[in-house]
Amino acid sequence: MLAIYKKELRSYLFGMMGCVIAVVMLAIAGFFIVNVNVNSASAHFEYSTYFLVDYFVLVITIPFITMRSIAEERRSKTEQLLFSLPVPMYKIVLAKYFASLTVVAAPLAVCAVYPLILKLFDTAGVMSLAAAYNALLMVALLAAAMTAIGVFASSLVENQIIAALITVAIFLLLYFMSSIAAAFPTSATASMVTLVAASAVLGGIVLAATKNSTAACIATGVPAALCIALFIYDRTLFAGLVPDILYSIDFFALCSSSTIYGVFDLRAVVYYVTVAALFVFVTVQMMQRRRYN
Amino acid sequence: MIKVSHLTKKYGKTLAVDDISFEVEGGSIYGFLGPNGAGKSTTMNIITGCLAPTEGEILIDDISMLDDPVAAKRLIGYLPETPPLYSDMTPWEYLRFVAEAKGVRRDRIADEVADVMAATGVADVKDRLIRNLSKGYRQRVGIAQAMVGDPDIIILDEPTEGLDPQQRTEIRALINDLGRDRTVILSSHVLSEVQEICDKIIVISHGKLVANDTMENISRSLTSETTMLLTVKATPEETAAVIGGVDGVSSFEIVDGADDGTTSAKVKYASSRDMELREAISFAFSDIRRAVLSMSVEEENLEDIFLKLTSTKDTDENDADDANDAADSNESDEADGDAETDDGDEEEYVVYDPADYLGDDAGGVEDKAADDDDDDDNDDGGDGDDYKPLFGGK
Repeated sequence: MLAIYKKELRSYLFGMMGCVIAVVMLAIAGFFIVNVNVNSASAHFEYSTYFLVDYFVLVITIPFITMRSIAEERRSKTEQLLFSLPVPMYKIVLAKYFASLTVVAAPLAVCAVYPLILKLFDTAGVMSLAAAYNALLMVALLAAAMTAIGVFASSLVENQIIAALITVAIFLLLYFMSSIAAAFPTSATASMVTLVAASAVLGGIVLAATKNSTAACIATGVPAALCIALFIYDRTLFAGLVPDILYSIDFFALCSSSTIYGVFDLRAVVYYVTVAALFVFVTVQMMQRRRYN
Repeated sequence: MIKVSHLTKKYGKTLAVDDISFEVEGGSIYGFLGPNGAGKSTTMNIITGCLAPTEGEILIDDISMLDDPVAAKRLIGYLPETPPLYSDMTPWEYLRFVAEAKGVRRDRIADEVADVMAATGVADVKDRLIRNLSKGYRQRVGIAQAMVGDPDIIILDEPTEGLDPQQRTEIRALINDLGRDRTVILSSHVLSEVQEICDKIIVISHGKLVANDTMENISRSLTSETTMLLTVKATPEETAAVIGGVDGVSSFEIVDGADDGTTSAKVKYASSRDMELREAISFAFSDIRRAVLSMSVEEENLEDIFLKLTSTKDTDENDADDANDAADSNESDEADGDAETDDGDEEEYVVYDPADYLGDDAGGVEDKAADDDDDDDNDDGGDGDDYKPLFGGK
């Protein structure tokens, strides 16, 4: 696993993509810090960190890092080497994931020096290092989850550009989740129909991933039947249900709120770690599926 | 060493590999043959763990590839059809990476990489980027990658594809070296190459195994008759009369009557009676004081065997089973008869008709098929009955 991790990291650095993205992220972070903490004389480092999320910096940069992760192996047929190595599939995916995450997190690690520098000039003693590092931690966790999504998208196709576009599309969908929730009808029927439709989509995904029609039918039928049964039993359960779900899993909101308010939010930690683990797991399954098809 | 049991691979509804089973013994070089799309690469990919089978089992030194793939993969080095090279690395970096990934001990990596580079002849380009290497060198780096970790089994999918003749020769020599102390399985479209390098061949056609044996045994199993080239110091008429009088000759033709008093003939007889017929022919000529100048058996080349095994048949289950039985059974002479009892296979063989060469007045016509009825080896369907030798037997 370590060998693959080192090879990936080396490839990012010597292939320039990692360096370019790191420089871009650092430049943008530096710009925010200069504007927020220097020019505006704000003692809140977390504000400038928040802008990394709010101004699409991660949304734009992470796909460029993750797009080649697995797609390039498929395109160049080197995945056969990985498959033939005495290394379990989950270690291959983890190595690739952590290599991508290292490249994503490296600029954030450099940014970790900035609060200390700012603290040197904090003569009024109003700057909170805890809030600053909490903000960096939250952004790092968000980036970890986004990287897992990016690596997953890279496992779907062999064209890097398409992998990047898929990643950006997923990120934008997640970014505007609260807007979608706000625009969504709150009626019980709309929620029920949406959940049944979501069950059908889930079945489609299962079918595409496993080619097993029985599993797909179960993945569609069970939740759909459950929804319909519950709807018949008590339709008020469904009133505003989908918007509520969307609000509660709002991907970027947890990071934004805990960053900007300087609050360590355990829910965010659990959420992002879970999302990262889930997408790494799904990526492993996608890679395994490649061996079966 | 490698045991493949009831291996089946389906791509959607397409059956790429259809219930094949075979064993590969240690310390031999195996040639993996088959037409394009026969399932060679798929089978190799499954054996090496790159693909999962739909059904079946692979045992590598009794370790199941499905149950313990990591342990099984440690025993195998694999060069896929397209060498899996990272073009932004140098051969040195690439082989180091492979060595680390294969779990070679850290203190052994430098020596191991140096050894395989020396063996494959890539040491002089070790610091050049792989993307700048010629195809021949890339192929060598690919083979070097398969050798890293000193696996007992090396599987090479078309290792000489796209190389020039000089490079092919070098790679062949390298594979021969590898085969001294390892099991090597290689696929190739160059049949002469397989014939030259390999101890045994495995033939797949339409996803089915049609043979797994030495070339000689497969050839014997496919050929019910041996064709002997005979040169004697006699006239064509004498030659025809003598050969026609030998019991067991199924057909013959006079190829050439030279001015120097020698005559060449092609004589066909049941393969299982080779030694007996050689002696009989030799004694028959000595009885009339005519010298036998040479006797040689026409060897079939691999192309003939390959075509027989893979062409004109739809490789239904019976065909495959029969061919496998035949290949397997050729360990003993007795088994030849079983192989030769296959109906229909003989349709592809050319039977020389002496009448085409000697005319109808050569005399002594007799239905020799009747004589051969008692001969199990020649009980081969319709051809024997149809054949009427121009020169009858005793």
